[in-house]
Amino acid sequence: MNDWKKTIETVVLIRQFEERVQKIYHTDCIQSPVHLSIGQELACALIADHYMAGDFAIGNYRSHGLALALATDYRPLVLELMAKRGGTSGGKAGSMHLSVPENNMIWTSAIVGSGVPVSLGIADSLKRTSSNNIACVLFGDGAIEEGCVLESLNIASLMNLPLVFILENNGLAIHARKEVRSSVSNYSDLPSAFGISSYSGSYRDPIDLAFQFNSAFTYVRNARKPAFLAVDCYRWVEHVGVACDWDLGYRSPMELTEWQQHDLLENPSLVSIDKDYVRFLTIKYHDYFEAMFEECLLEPDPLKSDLLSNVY
Amino acid sequence: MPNIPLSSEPITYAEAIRLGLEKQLITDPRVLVYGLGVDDPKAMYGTLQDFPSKFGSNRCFDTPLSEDSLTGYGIGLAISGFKPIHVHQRTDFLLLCCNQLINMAAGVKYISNGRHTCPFAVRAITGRSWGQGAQHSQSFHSMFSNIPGLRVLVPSTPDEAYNTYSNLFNVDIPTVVIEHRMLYATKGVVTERTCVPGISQLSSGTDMTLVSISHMTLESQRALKYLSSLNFSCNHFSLVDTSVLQLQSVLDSAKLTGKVLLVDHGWLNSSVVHTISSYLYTHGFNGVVKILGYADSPCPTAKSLENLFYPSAQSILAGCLEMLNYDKPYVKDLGISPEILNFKGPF
Repeated sequence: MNDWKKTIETVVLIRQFEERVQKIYHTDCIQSPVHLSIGQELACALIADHYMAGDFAIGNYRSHGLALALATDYRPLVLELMAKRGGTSGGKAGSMHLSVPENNMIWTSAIVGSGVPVSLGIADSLKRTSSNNIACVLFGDGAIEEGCVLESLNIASLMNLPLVFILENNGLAIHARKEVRSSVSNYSDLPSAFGISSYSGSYRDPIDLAFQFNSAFTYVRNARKPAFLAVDCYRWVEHVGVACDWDLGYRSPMELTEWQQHDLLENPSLVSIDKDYVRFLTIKYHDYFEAMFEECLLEPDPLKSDLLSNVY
Repeated sequence: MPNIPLSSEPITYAEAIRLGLEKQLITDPRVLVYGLGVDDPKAMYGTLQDFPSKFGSNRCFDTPLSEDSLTGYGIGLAISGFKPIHVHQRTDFLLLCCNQLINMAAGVKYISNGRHTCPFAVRAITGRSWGQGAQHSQSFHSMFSNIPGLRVLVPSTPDEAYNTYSNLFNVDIPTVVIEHRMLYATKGVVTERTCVPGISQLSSGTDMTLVSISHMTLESQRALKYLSSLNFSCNHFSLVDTSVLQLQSVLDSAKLTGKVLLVDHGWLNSSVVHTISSYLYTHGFNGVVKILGYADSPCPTAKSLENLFYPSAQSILAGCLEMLNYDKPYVKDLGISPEILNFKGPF
């Protein structure tokens, strides 16, 4: 049974963080590309719900949500976005390479699909050293078109790696729809071809989605074998940046309206949560991140000597 | 710790590799060797002979081809505390691994601001002869040396090969080691050292300075042997680490001799030998530099063309004598080196 109060709190936290980024981006205090998680928070929250100490997570360039869901201290993440010296990686990583050291979220890659092979090795290290820890890796539907992801499915299956492949299928690669990119009619057929247990869910049915996460994580943890979890979702804002991009004409705002009917913050009653609880959390995290972002602005930039440190 | 001879008897380059790797697996249970064919009967030209039975099939294991993903796999293992070695039968296949090697491995330490390191090693073997052609013969040390965060090692002698591998993980830097198939039968005495030799001095002299890389070291030694019969002597250096160049001894020698021949086992555009030349001239050297390397073409399969593609003992000798302004008659045909002449396939 999912603890929806906890899950929704994580979703609100991520949403408020991302909306803070939207509000301040025009001031140029974040001088790097940002790929927002708005609308795709729930998968990150559900990962956190099923995450155990010692597990590993591998994200991608759209990983604000994952990092926030796994972090216990958000300040280093804000500082990293601002490329400040006190950031998680001293300002050398930024939004596209976020990490959460306290919960084994390795820094992320901006090259589509590239984190997936790395997750194989991490999962093998867990197979060799742990009887219950697992790894999970997140990637979008564009990554399915990268050869390394298909290679990785084969390797994970052959090696029996304790790894959850999580496909966030938002139907878009930048502006390109699936129809022009992929001849695969059903992404869940791919893991099945490699003998990998396949699960699927959608943001349209949050209760079932939580069940699918629980099933996939439990299977991998117990069977010490990989699973593939396909999650249908929708990207609310532009691929990179903070704005809506309906003016480009490649998609319709009607699509968003349809997905928002299933959004937990718009309709918390879907999981029997009161709207007042969401309002309370929204104000709490709005104020929390407003203050934190303002404080972080005053923090120092990296030093000149940082340029050549930690190369070799 | 003093340098200790491993054995008074010369051993082959292949045996030196095996002993260096064996030491790694004996001393550290976190060291793993994997790649296509590493546990097959040929045991990677014998360099991994009996490793599966000695160390277990979980520490020396065959894999799918998937060079790209298995590079990422090694990076993941390395980030998690293991010390994996990914083996490729030909260096040319490293091009399939470049995203993971360059975008991922090389940046692990920097992007994590030192929180993670990536003690991941890649073994790659460059081929030559028996028609290795355009895609089984390339050596990419210059290309990989262009990348900050990667270490590139190109051992030429049994001593360099042994000490490259026996000290491989003394530092936690992702490393590409490029071996050469034509060196596998070369014999030499091996001394146990406590670090990877960045550069070795193979002979001393006063007339000129020579720096060679990979199989060109063997060809250079043949040329220098003939040169000594003409009463010339040479400071001969074999470059192992092409990524972090240790050139003080070369500079000192160059300033004394005034003549430097650089012999690369690679193309010359944007090459490590041009970097060496630049280093010398920007550090006070004002003598003459001559550079030899691959012809500016893909490697041809035809033997007659292949022999022209590479520098040879003969062309190295000619280069030396030109620098030495030697105008008397000398041998015009040192012949094809035996390891090339005698090599038969099928691979």
